[in-house]
Amino acid sequence: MKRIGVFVCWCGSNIAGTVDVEKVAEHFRTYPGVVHAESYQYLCSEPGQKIILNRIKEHGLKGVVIAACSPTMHESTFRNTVQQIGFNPFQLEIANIREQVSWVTEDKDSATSKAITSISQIVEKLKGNEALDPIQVPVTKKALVIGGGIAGIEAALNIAKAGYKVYLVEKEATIGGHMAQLSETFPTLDCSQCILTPKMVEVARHPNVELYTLSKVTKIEGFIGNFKVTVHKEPDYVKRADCTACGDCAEVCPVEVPSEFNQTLKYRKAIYIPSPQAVPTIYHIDPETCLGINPIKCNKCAEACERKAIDFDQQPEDILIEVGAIVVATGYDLYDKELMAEYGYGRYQDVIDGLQFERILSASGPTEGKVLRPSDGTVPKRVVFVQCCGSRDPEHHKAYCSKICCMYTAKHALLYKHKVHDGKATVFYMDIRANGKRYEEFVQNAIEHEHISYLRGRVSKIYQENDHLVVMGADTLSGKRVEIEADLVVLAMAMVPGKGTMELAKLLKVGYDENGFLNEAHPKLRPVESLTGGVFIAGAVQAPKDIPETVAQASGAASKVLEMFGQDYLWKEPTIVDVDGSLCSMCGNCVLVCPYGARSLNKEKHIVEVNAVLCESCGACAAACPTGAAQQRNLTDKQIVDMIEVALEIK
Amino acid sequence: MPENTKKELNIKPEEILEIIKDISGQDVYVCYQCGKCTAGCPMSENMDIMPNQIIRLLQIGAFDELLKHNTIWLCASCLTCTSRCPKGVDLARIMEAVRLLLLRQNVAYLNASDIPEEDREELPIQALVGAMRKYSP
Amino acid sequence: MKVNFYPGCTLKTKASNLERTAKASMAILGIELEEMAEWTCCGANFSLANDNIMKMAAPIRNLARAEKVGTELVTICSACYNVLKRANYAVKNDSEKLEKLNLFLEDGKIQDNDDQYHGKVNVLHLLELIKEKIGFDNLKKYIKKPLNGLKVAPYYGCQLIRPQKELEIEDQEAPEILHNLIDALGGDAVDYSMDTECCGSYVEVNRPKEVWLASYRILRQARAAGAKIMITSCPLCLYNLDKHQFDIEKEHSDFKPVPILYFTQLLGLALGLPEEELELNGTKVDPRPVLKESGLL
Ligand SMILES: Cc1cc2nc3c(=O)[nH]c(=O)nc-3n(C[C@H](O)[C@H](O)[C@H](O)COP(=O)(O)OP(=O)(O)OC[C@H]3O[C@@H](n4cnc5c(N)ncnc54)[C@H](O)[C@@H]3O)c2cc1C
Ligand code: SF4
Ligand code: SF4
Repeated sequence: MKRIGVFVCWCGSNIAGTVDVEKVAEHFRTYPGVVHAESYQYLCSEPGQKIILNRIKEHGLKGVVIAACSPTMHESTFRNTVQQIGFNPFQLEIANIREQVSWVTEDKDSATSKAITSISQIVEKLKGNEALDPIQVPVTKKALVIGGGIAGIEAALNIAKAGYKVYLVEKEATIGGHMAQLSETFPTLDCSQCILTPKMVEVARHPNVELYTLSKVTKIEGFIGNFKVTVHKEPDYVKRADCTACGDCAEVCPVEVPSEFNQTLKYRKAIYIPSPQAVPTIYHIDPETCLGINPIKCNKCAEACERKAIDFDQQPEDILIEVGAIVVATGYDLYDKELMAEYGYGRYQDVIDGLQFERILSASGPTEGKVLRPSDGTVPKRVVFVQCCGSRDPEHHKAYCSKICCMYTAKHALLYKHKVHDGKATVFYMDIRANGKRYEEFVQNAIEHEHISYLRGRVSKIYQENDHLVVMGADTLSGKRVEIEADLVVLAMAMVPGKGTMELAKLLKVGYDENGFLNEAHPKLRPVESLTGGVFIAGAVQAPKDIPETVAQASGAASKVLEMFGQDYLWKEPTIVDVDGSLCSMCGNCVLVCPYGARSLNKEKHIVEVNAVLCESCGACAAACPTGAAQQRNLTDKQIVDMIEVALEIK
Repeated sequence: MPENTKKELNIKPEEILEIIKDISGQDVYVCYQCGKCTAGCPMSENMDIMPNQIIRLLQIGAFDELLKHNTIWLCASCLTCTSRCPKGVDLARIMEAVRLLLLRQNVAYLNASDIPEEDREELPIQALVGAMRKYSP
Repeated sequence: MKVNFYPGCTLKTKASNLERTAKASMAILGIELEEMAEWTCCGANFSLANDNIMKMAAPIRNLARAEKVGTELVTICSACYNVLKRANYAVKNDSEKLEKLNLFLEDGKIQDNDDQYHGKVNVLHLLELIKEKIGFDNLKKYIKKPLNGLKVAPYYGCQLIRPQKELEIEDQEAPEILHNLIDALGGDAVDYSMDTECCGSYVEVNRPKEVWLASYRILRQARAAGAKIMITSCPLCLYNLDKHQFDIEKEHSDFKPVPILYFTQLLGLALGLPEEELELNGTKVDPRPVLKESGLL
């Protein structure tokens, strides 16, 4: 019989406080097959681990049971330890007597006897364990980055510069994301385009980066290290190599629609380039608004293009790529101001959101950087900024704080005052959350130097009166209700996950929270990983954040990808489900139930083939197999029956 | 018009919030003092403290202070505050609860006899019935 | 078609013209408002105290009596609508409350045939009835005297629309039902931002000056938006908004009074009711000059 050692951990008083650990050890000293049993304060400590190694040598142990905390905590710790002395890690098993016994049982006697039962079950299981070797999985050392905002650009550049191939997939016609729309950035007020454009160009030109714009990921198969991804690319209807972005085509295009890049504050044509700094720097046709993608319908642009770059025959493409890791960086959108009933449901032209104001402030924007209001193009002399719109409102909107609005509102008020010296800026706020390096100083400086009037209170209603707006607010510091006349109102709308994040998350099997932001694997210790192996997250798709934090997280995600790419193989648990050919009746049940496509019927050879790499050890097939041919390694039917029998004391 | 405003309560301070909660179903600690209620209150013009401050005084236990002010008697139960509160606080019910705290000590804020004859003639019945329900025990 | 109708106190006294114009107009539309038997006052405002459900006994008793006739009960006064509908909502969503109130109804039987309430009645405002049973498009067919684009300010006030979750009649921040009525009658519903602001309600009894201020804000905005006339469905709103206009005019020389009508008077006018049946003489600010000017009288 296998020589087994049982080690009972006290876990300080976590276990020993409720379980009589010495009595448990004593029980196993005479248990069939167990040649050694002892208890120790902290088995996971350095000396604790040494004890285990010594006992293996002293007693010639062939199997080890650690009775301690959950295997998700320390199974790998102990298995790695015993491996050092050539002991097969799959001959070590954990009996969970903390989460499943001591923490959930009050009475010491029953806790002790429950611990004994648990350990007995694991001892019985261990008797049937085989020595196994982990399965080697090759790593495809190429990465996919979804979303070409600053997060995606940074992650892609980091990985590409380390020498690996990156596919960068962006749904819009240009990369850059929201940062490309910003005017100047807090707290240093450097011009957003000026610091972003070089990065956009660099990433697009990098030999290791393959950029797909107007593209979306539509299918993902495989697993960590080995994903097969389908990218669906919409046509540009313009030959990239031939377009010089001269703009002759747009001149003649008869269609005018609100420009998305300019947040509807300006018109664009059906053939257009989102902004002069767009990357790739080419025009493309929006098939939704074009009169027909058909020379018979219009053809004006094609006639105007001297280089004959327009190509109505381009078709959508599905591109299949293979990658080992995926970074999701699909960013955010602003909560729709049309959902703010009491602020006019978006029907007042001069009530705009923060991104619209960024466009107004931006030198490349619809007003070329002059502060002019949308309704009549005059200079607004009184501007009211309203923070927390849609944020921190669990009753009607979003419960969370969008984190960056305090900062960009201070920036907006400041930039407004820089441009309209005699203007009056009023900010309604609840709290100022300026917790970043030099952020508080930035806000205070704006208030002091520009005499921005900060009123502490929420706004109840905004309405139009003649040619101006009236903002009904409160200043709780002075205990007053106020009505402020304004020529322009800027709403700091909540940040929400980008449209389509949820669908993408489902495709990737990545979790998301109640607001739709992607979940990190651990809120403190694994902030850039998702719970799905090989899928990482970066930027505002995880939670509202500003550029510095986005870039830091993107670099973090990239370094996680590189950590993976630094290895030639990944190791996978070998506890897969095999087939005993002599028992298999070729009924195919297991093939049907396998959610991972790991099993297939080979009619010629008359066997069921198992792809060890695809098998996730879920055991669905073993349960479905009517003949007992499908058996999970180290969890065979016999082992399970032995465990049940010992628990029911019929063994 | 005479106003019989009682300025003190014969209730132990530690019980007041409990009673407020029983009457209104509202927990004053839910309020984060954003002032949106005040911002929209149509009757605030002559209130001597603002609606959000009523909750504030309850939060800090300044009950005597609370009773000095006319705010609760100017509240028209229009529910503007309630309908817009981001925290779902039903302030109109809290206003009612504070009024009832006083009225239930059998002191009327306004008696029917205080209303001048000609007004009684002219006012719609619903105003009279409504006012009596708000201003008398 | 007959519908069960709850008039309430004010419609039997100060606002009798509201009831009469409603009945006459609805008759033209083929609907008979049949006054429910043995109704009592609803209490005028919905009690906001959780701990004393006796304040809900009056509305629930009325609903119990209405239940015997059918599943619909129509009201016109916004306050009655608010009280009945909120009390109905409260008991429909809290069976314990309903049980207690039924016990009380049993105990305090005023008459032998007083029943228990089973939560089957649906409280409707007359505006909802028009919208649902006739339809605003269809209403146009009955119009004899279209309002010729008369600029009318719809005034909703509080009781008809708040709280939205319980009344569910309209979006409390952007109601439309009165707008739609005005437009259907051939008028021009003006958009102004104070149509859901409170007029001051019962505070009028004790502090009329406060009500002044509230009314002034509303009227000024309606005027600025070009309104020639205003309509409402609440007798107290009508009273408050009408009452102080000359005082306001004295204090604010640029203010011009706005006549207020019940929506049923405007409806009756468009449906061709004779002038004397419209009873246009109930308010301080006389609506007749404006209506004459617009060729409607
Ligand atoms: C008004 C305003 C002012 C701001 N000012 C500042 C400032 O001054 N300083 C500062 O530090 N921060 C500022 N920010 C914050 C800044 O915009 C964000 O931190 C930053 O843009 C986040 O970058 P991101 O790449 O995560 O997301 P995004 O910029 O949103 O980029 C995401 C990208 O992914 C693409 N995408 C989305 N879904 C898909 C999909 N399914 N498939 C493929 N591609 C997809 C999008 O098209 C986009 O290009 C401001 C934000 C606002 C709203
Ligand atoms: S609106 Fe609500 S949370 Fe804000 S101060 Fe008023 S009661 Fe408190
Ligand atoms: S219910 Fe009272 S406190 Fe609230 S807004 Fe109306 S009048 Fe003001």
